[in-house]
Amino acid sequence: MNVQQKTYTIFELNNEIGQILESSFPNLVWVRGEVSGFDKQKNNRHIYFQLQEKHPDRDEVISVIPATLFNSDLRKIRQKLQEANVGTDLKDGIEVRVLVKVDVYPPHGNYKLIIRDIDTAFTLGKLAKTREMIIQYLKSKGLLDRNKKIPLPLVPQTIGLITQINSEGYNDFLNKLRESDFAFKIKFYNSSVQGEKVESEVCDALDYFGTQKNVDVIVITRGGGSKTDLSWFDNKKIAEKIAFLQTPVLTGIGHSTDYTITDMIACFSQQSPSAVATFLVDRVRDFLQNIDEISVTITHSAQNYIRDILQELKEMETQITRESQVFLQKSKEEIDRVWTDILSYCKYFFKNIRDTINNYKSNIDDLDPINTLQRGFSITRVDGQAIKSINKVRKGKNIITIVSDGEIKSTVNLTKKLI
Amino acid sequence: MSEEQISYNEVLDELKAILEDIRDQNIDVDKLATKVKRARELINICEQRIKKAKMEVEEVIKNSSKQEVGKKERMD
Repeated sequence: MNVQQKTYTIFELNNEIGQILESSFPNLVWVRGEVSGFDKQKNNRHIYFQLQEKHPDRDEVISVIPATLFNSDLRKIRQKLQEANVGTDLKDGIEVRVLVKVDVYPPHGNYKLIIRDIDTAFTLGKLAKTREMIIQYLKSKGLLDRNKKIPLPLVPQTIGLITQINSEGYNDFLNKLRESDFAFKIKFYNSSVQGEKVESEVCDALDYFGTQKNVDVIVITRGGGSKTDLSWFDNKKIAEKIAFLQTPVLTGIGHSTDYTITDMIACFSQQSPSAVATFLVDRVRDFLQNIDEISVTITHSAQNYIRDILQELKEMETQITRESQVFLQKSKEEIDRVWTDILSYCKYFFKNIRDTINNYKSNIDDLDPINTLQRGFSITRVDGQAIKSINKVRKGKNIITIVSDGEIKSTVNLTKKLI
Repeated sequence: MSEEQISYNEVLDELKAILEDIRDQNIDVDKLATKVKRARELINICEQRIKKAKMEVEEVIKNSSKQEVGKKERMD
């Protein structure tokens, strides 16, 4: 080993590396990467965190670089983020494009990026793009409407609540339920509502409630926050979990203007945690009111029905009374008529018999010669024989003529033949 | 079968048969008086039956009116 060769002290080496780096990057440069380790320091005056790059296809960090945000730059960046409506702060997991100074700190022998500015449009674009990709994916798999097709129970009583304990979303939701007169049963699963743990913890909670058979609805709540805060709920895995659940999911994430992918895929989404509670209370109240109305309707219908059939019976009774009287009257008239007919036919019977007898009598009378004599006919006899021809008498013969009241004796004077 | 057991319609049928016989003179003179007497008996039976039925109907109506009044009083 040649001791004449230049030997650096540690400081000299670090110093020289620093100079080389500074001469290579004399100006500020734009760098894009994912924020990491920021959240745990976010309340510090200066923030020391990392920018990292992940494998494009896998959730694997392939390169990391330390980064520093000094207070003055931090305030400027926070201001810009707020004005761009990205949110009030940076956070772990989001992608940023930042203007940096590559810096080496010789005493520690490390290099880092001093962040000076941020491209807010880039972050917003990234968030929007990520969100859009998730939506398209869910749409292509037909998952967007799956949970919406699950019927919501008429009376959701047992609620599986997913949120962070004692958070705004937790308290607002429960307070609103307690204000109602209804006894909701709450099963609670504590979960982060911000940060990298949101995905895994919300998914675990969904898995847990998905296996509970007596949970009527699952509710996910979170209080208001910036777009980047709420963007934790623009999450593909959470969306997929909800889509494949057999229990309806209700969400109340953020405030009125926020609409995350979790909201989009849920069975019903409300504008805030308390709005979800109100929705559930109203649903139970509506059901009870509906029951009351149905009960009143049934009572009225039953009363009307009874009144109608009583009326019908009454009419039938009147009709039967009237008809039975008519019937009896007709029966009476009928037998009266029969008796009249019998008497009338009896008279006719006797008259007929009398007429027949009279007829016989008349015929018999006609045969009696006395009756003939009384009508002017007479019988003339000669020698005791009735004369029927002039040939039976001669001139001078004595004859006897019998009339109705006696005999006439005479002598034949002349006989003359009629024509 | 006694006459108490004979139905009204059977009585009426016998009566009509007698009427028909007399009308058609399909009857012996000697038996006419007997037939007329029988007809009168049958008519009496019919009248009694009608009277009885009428009374029973009136009784039912009377009872039903009483029940109506009772019901109304209870409701009041």
